[in-house]
Amino acid sequence: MPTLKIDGREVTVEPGTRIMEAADRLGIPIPRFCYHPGLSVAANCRMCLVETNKSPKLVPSCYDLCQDGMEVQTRSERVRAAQKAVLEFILLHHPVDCPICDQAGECDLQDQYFQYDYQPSRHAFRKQHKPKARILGPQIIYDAERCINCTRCVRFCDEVAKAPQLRQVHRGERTYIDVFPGRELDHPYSMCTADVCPVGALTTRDFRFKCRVWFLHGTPSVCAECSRGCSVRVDTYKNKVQRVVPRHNPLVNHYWACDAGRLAYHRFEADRAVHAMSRGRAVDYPEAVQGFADAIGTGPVQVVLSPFMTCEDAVAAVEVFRALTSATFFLGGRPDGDSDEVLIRADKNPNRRGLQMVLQGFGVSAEPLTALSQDARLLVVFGDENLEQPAVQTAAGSASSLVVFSALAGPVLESATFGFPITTPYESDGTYVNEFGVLQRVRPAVSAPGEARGAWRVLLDVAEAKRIALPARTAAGLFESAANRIATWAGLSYLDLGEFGVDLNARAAKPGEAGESARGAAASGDSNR
Amino acid sequence: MAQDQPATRGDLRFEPLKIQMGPSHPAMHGTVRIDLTLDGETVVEADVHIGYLHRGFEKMAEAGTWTKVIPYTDRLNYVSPLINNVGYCGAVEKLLGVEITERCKYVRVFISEVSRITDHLTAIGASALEVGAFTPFLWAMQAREEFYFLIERITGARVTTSYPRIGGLRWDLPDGWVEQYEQCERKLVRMLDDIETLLTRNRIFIDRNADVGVMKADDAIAWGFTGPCLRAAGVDYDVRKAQPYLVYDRLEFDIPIGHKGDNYDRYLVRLEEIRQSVRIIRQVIRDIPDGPVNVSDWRIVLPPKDQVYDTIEGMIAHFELIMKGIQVPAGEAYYAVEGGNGEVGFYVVSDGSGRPYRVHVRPPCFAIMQGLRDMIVGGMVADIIPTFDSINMIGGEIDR
Repeated sequence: MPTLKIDGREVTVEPGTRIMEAADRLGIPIPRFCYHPGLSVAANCRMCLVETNKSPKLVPSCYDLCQDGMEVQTRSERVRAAQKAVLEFILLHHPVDCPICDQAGECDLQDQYFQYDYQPSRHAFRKQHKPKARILGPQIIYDAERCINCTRCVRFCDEVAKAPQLRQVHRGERTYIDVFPGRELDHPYSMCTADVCPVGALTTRDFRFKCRVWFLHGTPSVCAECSRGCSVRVDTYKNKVQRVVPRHNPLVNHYWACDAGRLAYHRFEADRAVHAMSRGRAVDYPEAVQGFADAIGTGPVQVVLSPFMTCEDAVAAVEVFRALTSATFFLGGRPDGDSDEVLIRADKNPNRRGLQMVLQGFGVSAEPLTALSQDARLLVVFGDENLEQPAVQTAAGSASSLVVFSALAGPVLESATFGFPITTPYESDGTYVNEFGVLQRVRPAVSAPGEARGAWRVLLDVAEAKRIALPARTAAGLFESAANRIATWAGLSYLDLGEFGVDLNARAAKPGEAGESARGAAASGDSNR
Repeated sequence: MAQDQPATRGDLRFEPLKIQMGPSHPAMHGTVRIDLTLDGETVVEADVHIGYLHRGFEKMAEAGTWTKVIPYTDRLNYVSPLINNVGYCGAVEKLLGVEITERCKYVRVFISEVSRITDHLTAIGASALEVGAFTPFLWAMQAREEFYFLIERITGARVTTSYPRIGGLRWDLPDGWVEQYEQCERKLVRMLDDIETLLTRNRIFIDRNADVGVMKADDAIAWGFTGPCLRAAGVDYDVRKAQPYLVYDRLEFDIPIGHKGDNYDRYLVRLEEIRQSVRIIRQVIRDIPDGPVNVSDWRIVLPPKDQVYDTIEGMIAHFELIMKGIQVPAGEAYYAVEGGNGEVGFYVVSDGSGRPYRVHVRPPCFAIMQGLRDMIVGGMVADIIPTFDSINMIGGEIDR
C-alpha cells in the first residue's frame, strides 16, 4: 500500500492507483482533457502534468502510478508554467467559436483556460483551417478546428461501444478525427462521443443550436427506453425536454446511455392527450372520475397494467381494484426488440420487474395479454403502448365499457367510455426497478400538459369517489406502504434512494447490511452533487 | 413620560400634541417619518422611523456576479454615487488581493473628491433653503450642475455612474477633463465666496442655526457618528487620514473641525471641506501618472474588445467573466471610504462560488439618524427642518 504526499497531504492508496485518482480522492483539482474515468488512459493532452520527487521531468498524473514516499506538487511554478504552455498550444489554432458553439458554458477548455492560463494570445499568424460541420453519422457532427485530439471519442468507440468507427487521420498539427471512407459513425452509442468530448468538436445533431446550456435545468431521472433503466439527466428549458444525457451510476450504466434512449423524448412531443374524454367528447375531469367510479364495483373487471407505470401507479391500481371488485390483472408492454452486450436490453419496458414485485407483494398474479377474455364487462387499459397490442385491441373492441389511461391522444382514448390523460416518464414522479433489480427514482423534469396527471393521482381520486381508504395520498406514501409488503424493499423510503438508487439483489443477499450500505452510497452521492 | 396623561409644566397644565412629520412632507428630505409629541411649539418627544426606501440592496447583491453589484451602489448615497462605487470595488479588490494601477488610484481620488463637492453643495444649498434663503440654494445647484456635466462626460451618466470596475475603471478619463474641471472650479470658488457673503455672517442664518441641533463630541462618538457631523463636534476623525486608502496618504489636505456640534458648525465644516477637496484635486492633476487604468489580469478585468473578437483567448476570458463572473476566493473583507456623510463601509463575504455570499453596507447616515432624536428634543418644531437637513440624511443609503 503506497503512501504518498500530494501538495503536502498524505494519502495511502491501493497499489496500481494513478496519481490523479489519488488526488481526486483528496479533492485536489488536477486539470485534464484526455483522461476519462470510464476509458483507458491515453496521456496525450499533457494537461495533468505534475511534479514529483521520483522523476526529473514532469509526469502525467493520469498515467503515472502512486509510489511509496512519492511527493507530488500539483501547483508548483514548473507545473503552472507547463499548464500555461499546454493550453497555449491547444488554443493555438482554436477558432473563435464560443458564441456559436453548443459546448460554450459547459466547456472544459473555457473553464481550464480561465483557471490555469488567462493570458493573451501570442499567435500573430493565420490559424490552421480544418473541416468544419462534418456530418459523421446520423447523430453526430464534427468540427475539426475545435478538436484538441484527446481521442476520448476514439477510445470510447473502441473500448465501450466495441464499434471501432473513429480514427485519427493525418499527422502533427493537421491531425483530426474521422470515420473511414464511405462509412458512418452509426453505432447505437454514437451520441456518447459528444458527451465525452471535452470541447465542442463533437456535437449531437439532436441538440445542435437548440438551446444555450446555461438556460437548461437538469433533473436527475431514469431512462424509460429499455429495462436497463439508465440513470440520466433530463435537461429542460421552458418546460420542454431539450436533451437527455447519461448520469454516472456504477450500479446501472456507468457513464453511458444509448442513442435510442436519449431520443425517446421525441415520442411524446406531439399529440399529447390533454383532456379527460368520454365517448368522443372532452369532459370535465371530476365528471370522468365519477363516471369511472360508478362503472366499477358492480362486477368483474379486467385491468391491463403497463410496465411503463411507476411502482406507485401499480400500487394505487392494485389497491383500488382489489378493494372494489374481483379484478383480473394482465401485464402488457412493448414487444421485445434488439439487445447487445453493452447496455441495450431486449425488454423495451422500464418497469416490468417493478410491477412484478408490487403484484407479488400484494399476492396478485398477472396474466399475459393472450389470456384477455372477449366480451369483458369492464376493461381498464394503462399505457399507450398497450393500445397497440392486437390482443388488447380485440378485447377493447368487444368490451361493454372501456377505460383508457394514455399519455398520447388517439382514437382509442377518445372513443373509450372514459379516457384519462396521464404523464410520460419525463413527467412522472415515482420509482422504476430495472431488469437487474436496481430501484431508482424517476423525477418529473417537466410539468404535464393540460389535465394530464400521474395514473396514481387519477386512481386516488377514484378511490375518494368510492369512499375507500388508501394507505397514502402521495407518491412517497404509496411507495412506503408498498415497501412494507415487499421483502427486498423493507424499510425503504425515497430518502434512501439517493443518486444511484438501491440494488435490491444486494439487499436480498444480505438483508441487514445491504440496506445500510445502499444508504451510505446514497448519502455520499448527495454530497458530491 | 406618560404621554397620554396631561402633564404639568410649572403651574400650567398642557395637553401633549402628537403629530406625524412625514413620511411625505415638503420639508422632509427623502422619505422618513418623525412621530412628534409637542408642547406648544416645543418638541418633548420624537420617534424617528426609517425604512421607507428599503429596496433589498444587500439581498439583491447576492443574486448576480460581483460585477453586477456596482450599479446598485449608485443608488446608495445618490448625491455622491462615485464614492460608493469606489468603496464597493475597493472591498472586492481587497478580498481578491489585487493591487490596482497608480493612475486608477488617482482617478478614483479625483472622482471621489468631485462627488464630495456635489454632496456638500447639496447639503449647504439646502441648509440655506430650510431657513428661507432661496438664492444660495439656486447658486449651489448651478455649481453642482457644472460638476454633473463633468461627471456625465467622464462616466456617461449624471447620477447612475457605475464608473469604477473591480480591478480598475470602465474607461480612462476623457480628453480635456482637466480643462473642464478647471472651468467647474472657477464657477465653484466664485459661488462659494458668494454664498459665504450671504450666509456665514448673516444674522438670520446664525440665529436659526447656531446652538441648534447640538450633538456633543462624546455623544456623537457614542452614537457612531462619522463624517462632517462628527467633525463639527470637534473630533478630527476622517477615514482619509485615519486609514488612508488609494493615495490619500500622499496628498496634503486639512481636516476642518467645529467646536459646538451645532447646525452652524456643520455648515462651516462642509464649506471648508469643499475647499479642501479643491486642494486635493489640484494635487491629483499635478501628480496623476500616465499608464493603464485597469489591471492586466484577464480573470478580473474584461479583455480589450479587439482581443475578444479576434482571439480565442480573449473570447474565453470575456465569456467566463460575463457568464460565471470574477472568481473571488472564499473569505471576507471590510473596506471603508470617506463618503459625503462619513464612513461608508463595505463588508463583503465570498464563499468562492463567483457570486457574493453577503454584501453589507455600513451607511454613515444610519448611525447619525440614531442621534436625531437627541438633537431635536427640547428644541422648537421649526428647528427640526434645518437640523434634519444638516445631517444630510440620504434615504437610498440608510434604507438600502
